[in-house]
Amino acid sequence: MKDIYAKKAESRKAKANLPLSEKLAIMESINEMIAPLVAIRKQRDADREKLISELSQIKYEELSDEQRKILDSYNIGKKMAEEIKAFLAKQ
Amino acid sequence: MVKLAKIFNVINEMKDNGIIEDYALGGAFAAVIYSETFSTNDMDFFINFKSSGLISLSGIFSYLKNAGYDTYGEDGSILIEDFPVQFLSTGNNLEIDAVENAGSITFDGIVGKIITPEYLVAIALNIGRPKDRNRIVQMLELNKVNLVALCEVFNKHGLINKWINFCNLMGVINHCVK
Repeated sequence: MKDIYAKKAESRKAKANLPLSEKLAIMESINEMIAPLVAIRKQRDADREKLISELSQIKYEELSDEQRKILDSYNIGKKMAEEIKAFLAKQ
Repeated sequence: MVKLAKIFNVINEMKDNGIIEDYALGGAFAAVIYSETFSTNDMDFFINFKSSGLISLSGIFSYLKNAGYDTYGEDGSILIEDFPVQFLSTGNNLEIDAVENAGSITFDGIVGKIITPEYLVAIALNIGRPKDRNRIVQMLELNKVNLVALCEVFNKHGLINKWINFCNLMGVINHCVK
């Protein structure tokens, strides 16, 4: 096991000592590889912001019975539904 | 590929033209230069302004606009040679000191200033986000840090208690005497 860690440490040191031009090329290929994941994360963050913004505009008492029913039964867990209801009631 | 030499050239000219007093590359990009490569999407330049002048980044942006760089990224970075660059006005004595004591690298014949490993670690310790803590461990593991110089920076900037807490938290040997 110690050998494996020693080899890994050696490999990391070798990577750290690569010429800068090689490091920059590696960085670019890593950035390209993870670009789709970064885009998903950014979209998810934007969606969350939009949802929070929209939720903050809603007043629970102004919802129709049907809308309240949907909110109450929405599959986000009873505790969270209660928290959202309490939050909306304060608006 | 990121045109590091051209970017340094632009920043050097900004210094020569008196737009900024001094600068040094910091953040994740600087860490990559000293250690293993990992993904980073921008370059952070720490900027010292003349002490008598108004501290504002707007001079930098109007200078860059005149130089033909006026495209901004979502996070407020500006694209220089198609690569996002952030300018961070030094906000405390540690950062000012880091710029004043910066080292240099030469890439494609252009010399650029870069924060030393010791100050990179000290700034990371001071900020203290999880990714900063990981960066400290990485720099230490790769023996890129002069431990005597590191302790001097900690002592000078009142970071020794933070360092002791960090060592306890991360299982890192404390080489600094309080």
